[in-house]
Amino acid sequence: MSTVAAPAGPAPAGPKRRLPAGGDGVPLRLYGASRRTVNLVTIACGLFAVFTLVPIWWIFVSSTKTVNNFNSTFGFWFSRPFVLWSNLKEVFSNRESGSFLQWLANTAIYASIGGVGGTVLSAMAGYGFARFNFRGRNVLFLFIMGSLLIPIVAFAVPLYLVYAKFHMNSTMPGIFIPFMISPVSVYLMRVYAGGSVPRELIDAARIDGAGEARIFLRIATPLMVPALVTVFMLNVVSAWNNYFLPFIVNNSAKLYTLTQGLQVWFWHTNIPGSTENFTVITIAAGMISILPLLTMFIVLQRYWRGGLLLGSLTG
Amino acid sequence: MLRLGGSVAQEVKERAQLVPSRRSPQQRAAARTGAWLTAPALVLVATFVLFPLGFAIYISLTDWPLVGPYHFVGFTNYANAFHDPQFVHAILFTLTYTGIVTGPIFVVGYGLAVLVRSNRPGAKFFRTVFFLPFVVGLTTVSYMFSLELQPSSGGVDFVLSKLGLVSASQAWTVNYGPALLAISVIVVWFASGLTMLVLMGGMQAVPDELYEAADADGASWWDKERLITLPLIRRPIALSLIISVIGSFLAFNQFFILVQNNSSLETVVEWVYQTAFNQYHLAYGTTMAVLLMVVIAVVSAAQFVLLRERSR
Repeated sequence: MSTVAAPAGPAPAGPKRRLPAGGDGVPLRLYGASRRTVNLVTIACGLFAVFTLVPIWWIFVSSTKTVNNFNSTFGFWFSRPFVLWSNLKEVFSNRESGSFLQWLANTAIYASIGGVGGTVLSAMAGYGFARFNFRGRNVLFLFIMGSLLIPIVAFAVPLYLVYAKFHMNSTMPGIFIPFMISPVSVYLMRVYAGGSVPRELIDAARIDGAGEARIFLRIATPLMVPALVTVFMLNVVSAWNNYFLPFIVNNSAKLYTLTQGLQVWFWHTNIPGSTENFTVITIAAGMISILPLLTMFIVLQRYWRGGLLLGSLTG
Repeated sequence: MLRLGGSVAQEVKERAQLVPSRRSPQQRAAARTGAWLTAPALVLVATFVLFPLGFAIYISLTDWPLVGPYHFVGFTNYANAFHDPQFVHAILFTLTYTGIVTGPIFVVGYGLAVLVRSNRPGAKFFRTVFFLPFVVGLTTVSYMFSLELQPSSGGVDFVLSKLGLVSASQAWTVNYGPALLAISVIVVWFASGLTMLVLMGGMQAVPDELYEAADADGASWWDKERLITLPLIRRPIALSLIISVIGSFLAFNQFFILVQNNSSLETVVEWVYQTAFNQYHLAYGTTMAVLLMVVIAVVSAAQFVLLRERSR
């Protein structure tokens, strides 16, 4: 590993130093099991996969039903009439209780800014902590890691008061800036940069006269892509699904997140004798709100190295 | 124990470079770059986490009202919290809930990790499927489950009543037992994938040679799991337990959405929220939140230390 010196040298694909060779860097680990064992393992996987997928399936099936059919037919299969399109039209139509399109757009904005911002900040910090020696490095790293143990509820009231002082309650930055803070991402980026960006490569680039910004952008960043994708996904998912923070700092209906908006509709479903039946519409809205996350995860999962990143915690 | 020679040497080198001897201009330039790179993250953490936290501790020592002046009251809020039956109940309930879900999440997550850690065909597919609930998220799913669990019309009652397990009008989210059972199943559904991911990463980092050696000695599957895998993945185990225990201590969404207005099913975070943001007892609510944070820090540290000590 120490022989890598050329700036354009082959990229070591991640913190592999502890991983033995084998296909994807993942060792085969069935210990030469018999055909029967393999079948049993597959059946167990299949059963749990059913348990995992059934609730998601139920959401999709239910969003294609009329309210009457929702109440009276088998929940896990389709029934006539198939009204997915008209339900979706209902979801996206403007109504007194708020515009779903607005909530979806808000959430997309918060989650993309939070996701991109969080990824950039933790890539910079992780690379900085892993590859530069500066005074107080370890203390400052502990400082970030320590915040992992501080739940948002612990500082919800002061955050609200500080926001009030600086007129940040019910503003977009007030909602998305906290989404950019992710100690776990800094930790993962530090571990990954430490294993995949060789010091020799950085030194060689410096000798060639490259500036630090250029080294970070052109040499370090491409080597950290799997970790960047992983961290980006974790940040987007946690921002998209965040409930407590918007709940505390935002009460402007225009800035509602999906989780807040769904709550409004959800409460409508619980009002007995309300004129409109929101149940199926709420489910269709829930389906739309998980769809982007599922799509992103499935599209990006070939870059996803969650297991490998976390595995580097061993030892 | 798993550290290979190379990484130890590297670490020694890194430590040696940290010694504050006379630094060359290049080293000082590097230090400056490092500081610049880490500064944005540090500033955000300081502004949006640590400063509000310090402020929270300050508030907890006062009688901070919604408007008007405040006074120092010392540790009165803390003393009151321990004598507040509703708060003590919320703590006990949160502990009960944590006790109920931690075991199943870990066992299921471990089982899944064993199932998908190998590289055989299909393992990658199942890995993705098992992690999907975590991506879907607990909030949306709590709304959906709440509708799914409705008596008579929901899917759960339909299936279970066909199987003869419950009556078709079981109201899941009203009474203590059924509600806790339903929420526990939802949380196991949601959280097992993350535990699986953490443990699987640890398992994949165990060198193959160890298993090959054990095979040569004729060790059984269970022996290998118990004597090789478990001792070598103590840190991932500690991490997965810390993540799931913190998550349970902070449970809010699923309870707030599925069972509102049932004080026997109130978690600490719900109680803090009600006290601070519904009744506007800002200082008192903050005090309880600070106590919760202390408990989390202590439990996390204890789990880490306990699981680390024995591996030596």
